Amino acid sequence: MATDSDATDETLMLGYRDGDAAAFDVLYSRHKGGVYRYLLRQCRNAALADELFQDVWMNLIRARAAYTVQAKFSTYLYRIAHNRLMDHFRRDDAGVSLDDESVSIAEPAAPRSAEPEVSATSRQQAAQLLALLDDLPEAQREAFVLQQEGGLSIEDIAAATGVNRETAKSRLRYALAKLRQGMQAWQ
Amino acid sequence: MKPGSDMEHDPQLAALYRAATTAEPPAHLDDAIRAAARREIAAGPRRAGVRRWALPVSLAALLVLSVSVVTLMREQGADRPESLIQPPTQNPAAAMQSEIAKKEIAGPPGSAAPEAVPGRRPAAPPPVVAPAETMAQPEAPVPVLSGRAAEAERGGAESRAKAMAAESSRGVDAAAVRREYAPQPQLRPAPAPMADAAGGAGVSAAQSAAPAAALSAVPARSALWQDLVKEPPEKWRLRIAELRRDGKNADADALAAEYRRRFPDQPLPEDQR
Repeated sequence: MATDSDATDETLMLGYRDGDAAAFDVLYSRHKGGVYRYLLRQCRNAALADELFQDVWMNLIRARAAYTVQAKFSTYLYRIAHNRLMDHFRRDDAGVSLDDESVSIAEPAAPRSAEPEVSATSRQQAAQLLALLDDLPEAQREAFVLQQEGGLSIEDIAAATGVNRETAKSRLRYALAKLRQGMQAWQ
Repeated sequence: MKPGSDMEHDPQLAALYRAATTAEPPAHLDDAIRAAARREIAAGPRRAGVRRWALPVSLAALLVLSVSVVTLMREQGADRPESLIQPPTQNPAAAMQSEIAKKEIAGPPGSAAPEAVPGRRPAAPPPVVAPAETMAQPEAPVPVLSGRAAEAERGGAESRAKAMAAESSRGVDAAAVRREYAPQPQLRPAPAPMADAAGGAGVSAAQSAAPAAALSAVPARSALWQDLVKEPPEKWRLRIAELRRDGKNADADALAAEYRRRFPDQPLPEDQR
């Protein structure tokens, strides 16, 4: 059955292509958070992230009939998300700039820890990390978020963003280096 | 951060990132997307199946159509009647020219028909439309020929017909061709001697010589009564009696016929009739 919880993403997507609606539910549950956060980190606007998020999944639904397994499903899904994001940036030049520092992301607070001191430290570290992440160039930030949210390898990041492996690797290295450097004060 | 962390992987940063970002899409988006996914399935047949089969089906249809057309063309080519290869001429002027050419080939009336050549097709009728003057032109008078002259004329007519067909196929004016190759009027040959006619030079020669002899006999008969024109009937009757007595019954009959024409009121005696 394609809707088994341990079924691969590709099997679930093939099941949905063949008419299994439950398979889509499983897929959606697995990837909805990652895709949404990827869009939210990249566009840094919650309302816009909602719109783009819906478009990404609708594009996936419309393309289901032509789906064939040619890569990891997560790579396929994030490629759709990346393309939708690029379309938005190209169409809306006067819109949100990725380097606009004034735009704030409505990120909910991290769950409170049982220990108040540890919790305060963790919240500060998270806020510092998100601030450092926002300071990264778009491409480097995207590489890092794709790795964290989608679990993509360097090759998958390259495929999702349409660049070669070395470029993706370089972007990811720069992102990690900057984040480590910014978080050294918390060591 | 730990000093030995991978250049492309940092577990501590990853854990810190996962703890920092817990944003989820709104619930109404979840419902809308799931509903859209179900609507897409319930919308209808799988278009992917159609797309998968579209190309093979198109190629198969094209192949079947091509084979059908080629087969049909071959069948039509095999069953095509000869009339389709050389369609009959519907033009009345061209048909008239064809008839004229056939008459010329056949020669004058009464002459022997030309020998039929097996497998030989008559010259195709010229497709050129003859002008009105050619259509209205009366046929040339058929000359009276002797046997040898008729054969020569037949050969000439046949060659003229071929030449006319060739000229017509080149688009030359049919009237000009007809004038050029029209049979030249020949002088009536002199009356053959009676011995020649009786000698059997040919059926046509005998037939043509008989009227000539009759014509030549007319002035000879009229000489019988040239000296009696101004004489009374008694002189005529005496001459008729002399001719009968000499055994010249033909001359006597001719003179008696002339007498009856001239003197219908004075019948001949019984012994002179």
